[in-house]
Amino acid sequence: MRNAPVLLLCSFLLLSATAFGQQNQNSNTNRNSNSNGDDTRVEVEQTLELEDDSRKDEVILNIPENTREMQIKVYGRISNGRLVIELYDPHGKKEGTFSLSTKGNAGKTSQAIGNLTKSLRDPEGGDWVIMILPGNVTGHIAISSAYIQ
Amino acid sequence: MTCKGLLLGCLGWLFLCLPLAAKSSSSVPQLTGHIQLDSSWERTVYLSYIPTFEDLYAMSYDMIIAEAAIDSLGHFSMDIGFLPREDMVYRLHLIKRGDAPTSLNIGGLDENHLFLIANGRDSIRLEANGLRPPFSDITYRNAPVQSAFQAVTDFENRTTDLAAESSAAKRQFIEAQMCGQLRIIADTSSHPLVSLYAIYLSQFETNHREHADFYRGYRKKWKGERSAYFTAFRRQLPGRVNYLRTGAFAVAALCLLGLGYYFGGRRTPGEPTGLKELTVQERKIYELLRKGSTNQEISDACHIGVSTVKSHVSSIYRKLNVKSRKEVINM
Repeated sequence: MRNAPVLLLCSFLLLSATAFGQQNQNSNTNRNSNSNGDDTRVEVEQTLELEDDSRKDEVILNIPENTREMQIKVYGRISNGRLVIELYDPHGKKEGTFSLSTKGNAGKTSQAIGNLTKSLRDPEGGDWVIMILPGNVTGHIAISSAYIQ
Repeated sequence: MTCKGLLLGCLGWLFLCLPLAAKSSSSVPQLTGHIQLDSSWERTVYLSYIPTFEDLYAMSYDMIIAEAAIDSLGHFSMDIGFLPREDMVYRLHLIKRGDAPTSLNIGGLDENHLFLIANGRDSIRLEANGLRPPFSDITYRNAPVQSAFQAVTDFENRTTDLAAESSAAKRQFIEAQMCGQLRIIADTSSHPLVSLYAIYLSQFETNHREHADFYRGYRKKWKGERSAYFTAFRRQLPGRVNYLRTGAFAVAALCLLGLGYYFGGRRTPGEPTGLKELTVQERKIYELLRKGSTNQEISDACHIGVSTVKSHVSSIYRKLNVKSRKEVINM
């Protein structure tokens, strides 16, 4: 029991290091880690702003081994171009995708929006990869991941 | 008097019924339905045309071909007489209040879409009996093709939900079983689009090599299908096996094997011990290791992180009972 604060501090430092290991985009990244009893919940949020962008990019979410639960949400909103988002597990297996295009919206001011949610219990530990494949995209991408250990 | 009265009665009925029957047969096919929506949803339903199964999760304005208002009781109705006469795949979707019509939510309780097969000849009536997500617990009335298509979706959803709630090892098993079952559905379904939909849900891109015989037979079975759906599928599936080239390759390999046996003494040719224990991903990494690839190069080739590569490499070393890359290359 006396070791509890030390263990808590160690786990916090370890998880923070993992969170800081996320690939940094030209974007905002918020990290939040909190412990409740035996559970530690880590949340990482990243946003990317694209301006007529066609550069292929990837965001890597490092999910530690022995994670109990995980949720990844990818939100894309574009006002121009074509955007493909793909989610891969640490083995390279595609776990989800969506593509957005503003083709055909001439004269309309609305945008195209995609929202992908993946929730898993006992997920594979390792690097989950979100591939971002834009074609002259102007828009906004928000990626949030949360996991509980 | 009785016969004459009966005859007149029949003629009268015919006179009354014929115009009604004619009107009924010439009426425009409708897609009607009932859905339960809470106040967070717009009360409009959109119909999009899905040109290939690769576009199931694509969204753009030019895919939306019709829309209909949903009344306060959740009923909607749209004309579908303008659709092509042959069966094609469509998507119905809803949007959250304030969202653009081109909004697609995949996964979770706010999943906003439903795939279905429709044509310009037949009316469709659907009931969405679930609340969250709104397109859940779907039933169709007198529509065997739509019901079969929906059964494939339901099976995949149920199994994926079960897998997501299971441990990693159990999930792998459940997913393998699901893919096997979907291949059986694809094999036994008489409707080409229902069959091909099951193939796409069975993750054929990742397992077609393991089940090469099945896909060879499948391709042969539907070789007469010329729709865009099958054309796209054939494009995705690796090309037909060239038996002549394969045979020549096999003969050459046998000759080399014989020569190796002759010059290498009585050592048993074949794979190193432990190679069969490697998983598909580990085998791929093993091949890259043998080519001298660095961890970063393997990471790039397999779309995985360097730390994951390291973990796979240690597992490969353990299974092959080696201690270094040099030993792997020399195997």
